[in-house]
Amino acid sequence: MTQEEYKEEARRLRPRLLQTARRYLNEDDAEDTVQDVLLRLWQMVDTLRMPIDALAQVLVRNFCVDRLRRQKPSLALTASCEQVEETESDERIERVLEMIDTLPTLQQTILRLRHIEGMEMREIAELTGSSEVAIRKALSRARQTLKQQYEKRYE
Amino acid sequence: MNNLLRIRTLTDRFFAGDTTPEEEQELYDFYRQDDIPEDLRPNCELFRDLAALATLSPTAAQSQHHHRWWLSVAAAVLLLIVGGTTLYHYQREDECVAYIYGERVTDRDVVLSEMQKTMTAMTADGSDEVEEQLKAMFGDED
Repeated sequence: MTQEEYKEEARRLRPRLLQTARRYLNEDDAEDTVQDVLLRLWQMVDTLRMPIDALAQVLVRNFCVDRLRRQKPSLALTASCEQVEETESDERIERVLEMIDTLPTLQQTILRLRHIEGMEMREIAELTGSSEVAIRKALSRARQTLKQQYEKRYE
Repeated sequence: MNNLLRIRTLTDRFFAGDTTPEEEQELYDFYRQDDIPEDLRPNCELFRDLAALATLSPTAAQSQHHHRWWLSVAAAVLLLIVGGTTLYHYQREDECVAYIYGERVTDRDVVLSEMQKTMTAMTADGSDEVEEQLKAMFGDED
């Protein structure tokens, strides 16, 4: 997709993406989230193929859920065991997302689609307009980078 | 031992981007355990964190909505049966008759109100759909 085509698509898609984001977030957060998604898509413009509607919608939903989760209030002192487990899980999610956010945008997107949306390679390839082989390679690189980051952190 | 061999192979394939979602779940289950061989231990935290991340997946959340989905279907079926029967009698005899908790009730407003209470309780979210459907079925005359 060319940069001009992307700009046109972004202009066309923006109101619908905002509509989706508003279902999860307040007006300001919805605006920020859509902006964030459009920026990330812009960073992968060379690899994108038309149409990008479905990919953009999935990413908006994904980032809205991410933002909502980060907004959750902290744990009360009288928390039950279930709440403690949930907090531990939240910390794990927080940590892995932080590491994912340091990766190149395409790798971030593929990891999110695979590990949060639970998508098959074929679906990710269709959404990004790429081939399954290319997606597998990018996923492999992303996972190996994560592995190295974890090894450094826990050595 | 065979299982460990399989886990090592799956782990290699995972980092090659070559595992299925089912195989990835198998890895999450394995790395959740306390007793992990030393050579695989450096992978533990990554797989545990990815397992936590997978709980955000819409498919993971879907099972929580099944209960409500079936309630909606049950409510729709009940609405058709009770509503249809009542409407049939209403049209044939120009009279609305229903048995509520074993008592014969002919007051149309009471019947509609009881049906609405039941349906609202079943759909749990108190949506206006029930009222709209009842109105569509019986109209708003009187």
